[in-house]
This record gives sequence, structure tokens and C-alpha cells, in this order.
Amino acid sequence: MTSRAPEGPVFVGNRQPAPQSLADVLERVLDKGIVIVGDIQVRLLDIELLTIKVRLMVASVDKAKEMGIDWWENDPFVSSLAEEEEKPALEERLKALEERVNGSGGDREQ
Amino acid sequence: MNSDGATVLHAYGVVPASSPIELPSSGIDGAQVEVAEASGLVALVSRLDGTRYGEEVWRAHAEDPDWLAGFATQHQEVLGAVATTCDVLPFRIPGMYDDEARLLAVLEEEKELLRRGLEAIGGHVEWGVHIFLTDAPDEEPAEQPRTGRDYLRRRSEQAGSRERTAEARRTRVLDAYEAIADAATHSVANPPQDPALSKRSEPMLLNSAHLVPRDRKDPFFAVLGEVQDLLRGDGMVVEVSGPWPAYNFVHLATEELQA
Repeated sequence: MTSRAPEGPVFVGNRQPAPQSLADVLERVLDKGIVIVGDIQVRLLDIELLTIKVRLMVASVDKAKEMGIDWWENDPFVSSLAEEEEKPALEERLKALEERVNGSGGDREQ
Repeated sequence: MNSDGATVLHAYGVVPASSPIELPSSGIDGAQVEVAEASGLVALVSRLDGTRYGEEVWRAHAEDPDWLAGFATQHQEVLGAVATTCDVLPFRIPGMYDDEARLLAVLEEEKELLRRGLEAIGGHVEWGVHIFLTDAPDEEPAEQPRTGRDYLRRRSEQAGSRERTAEARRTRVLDAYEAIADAATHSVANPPQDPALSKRSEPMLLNSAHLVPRDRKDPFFAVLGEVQDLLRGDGMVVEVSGPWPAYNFVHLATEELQA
């Protein structure tokens, strides 16, 4: 058989091709493959930590949106916060967001 | 830090020196994909803008899922295209070098490891297999319990039945993995993917990777089809992705070294 190999997932069961999964790419590129010394030595998130981070971000954004809060989508403060500090840890950024939310939340609770 | 700083070199992976390669038309950020040859190896590289991919930028985005995902996707696009026709040993990211001289020096240092890696995966591609539970068979409809004791007994029976079903399912998935692995040269089972990344709500029962000779693709897919036929009745679906460069089998390079 000389047909071209499929470029993405093939559903052996459903016979419908699906887009190549980001999870498939990330678990390979972040955690597998040959590691040889390079000139940029920086510790990247491995797939487990990245997943936790994505879940935290999604959970906090979803929860806030549920409450009708989405001010950050157009708020210059959020972008300026990122510029002022080197690279705030996730916890600090969430804390800053929470403090802002609680500050304005009091007005909305009626 | 290199003297220039304007460009940095990204290495995607290495291919055997003898191979004819079809280079993709572009790589990360639209940069050209080029080759750098040394020590009997050919590295696939792109020169990138230092202000976008230099050390400070990597540090700033080391924990940025979107940025990393963007880079990773483009990195794999190049490697995936090459892998369809050529053996390639993929590098993990960042894979960044100040310049070509630095990369060639590292390739020289690591040439044994890289040669053994290419040898181990030579003539093979990687296929990924997932088994999802899409349709759990219905539990038997319960008669209305007449007493409290009946109710508790019914609950206990159902829990036991679910546990036995789950156990039976695990056994069938293990059997499926072994059957698939029989059709491959090397196989590995990885932890199931988190739905936050996979965006799939169905439980993932198997997440495996298989190193299969290029000319054995049809028998491998035939086994996948047989496994799918056997599992369909239990509400499980088999999915395959690839062909991938042999990301999951680079450890064979060091095992060869130790042999």
C-alpha cells in the first residue's frame, strides 16, 4: 500500500479524522525527545505541572465568569501588572486578581 | 551570551547523514528550515530572532502554557513532516544555541549518543494509540427494593458489579495493549492524558506509543482494527495518531550505549 500516511489521529472505530491533539504534541515535545545541553538553560514546565497550571487558570477564570466577572478582559491594570513585576508567580497573580475581585465584589452583592 | 544576540539557533533534531531529506518550506515563526552537518550527523535548524526567542524571553515564558504550546506545535510540525519520509531523532525543547559553531561543538560531544539513537529508531516511526470509554454498558434495571435491607443489598451488588466491570475492562485493555505491542518493535504505556489538555470528556483507558517499522504499518493497523472489533461491544473506541518521530523511544540510545 502506498497511500500517504494520515497526518493526524485516525479513528479506527469512527472513521472520522480529528485534529491533532495538543495534548499529544505537548506530552512529546515537553517530556520526551533527546535532551542534550543547549545554550539556554531554563527549567520549563513538564506536562504534569503544565496541566495543573492550565486547570488552575481555567478554574479561576470560569468561576469568576460564572459570577459575572470578566473585567480583566479589557482591563489595562492586568497588562500593566505583568510589566511591572519580573514574572509574578501564579499564586501572586491569582491573589492580585482575587483582591481586585473582592474589592469590587462587595458592590455587586445585592 | 553570543556576541551578536540578534539571532539564535534552534535545533529541531538530527537525521542520518546519508538520508535524502525533504525539508519543510518553513519552520518556527516562518523561518527557513536549514541543515547543519557535523560528525556524521545532520541537524535540522532554524535561525530565530533573538528578541523573540533569546534567553530572557524563554525565562519569561518558562511557565506560560500558551507560549510553550505555540512553540511546541511549530517544533513538532517540522519534525512531523520530516518523519513521514526520513528517520529523525527529535530534540526536546528549548534546543537553543547561540550560533552554529556552538551547536556543532555539542553535536561532536554527543555524537555517539545521537548515532546510537538514530540506529535504534532507524527505519521506524512512532504511532500513538488511545483507547477511550465512549459508551459504558447500561446496568441492569433494578427492581424496586421492598425493604431497607433489600435496598442496601442492591446498592452493594451494584457497587460490586461496577467494580467487576471495571476490573474486566482493565484486563481487556491490558490484553489489547499486548496484542498491539506484539505488532511493534518497542512499545510504551504512558499515563492517561488529563482532560484539561486533551479536551476529551470520555475516560482515557490507554495512552500508548509504539515504534513500528515503516514497512510494517499495514499489519500494525490490521491489529488495531482487530482490537477495535473486539472492544466495540464494550463501548470502547481505539484511536491512532501519527506518524510521529520516535519521541518515546530516544531512551534506546542510552540503553544501546550501556549494552
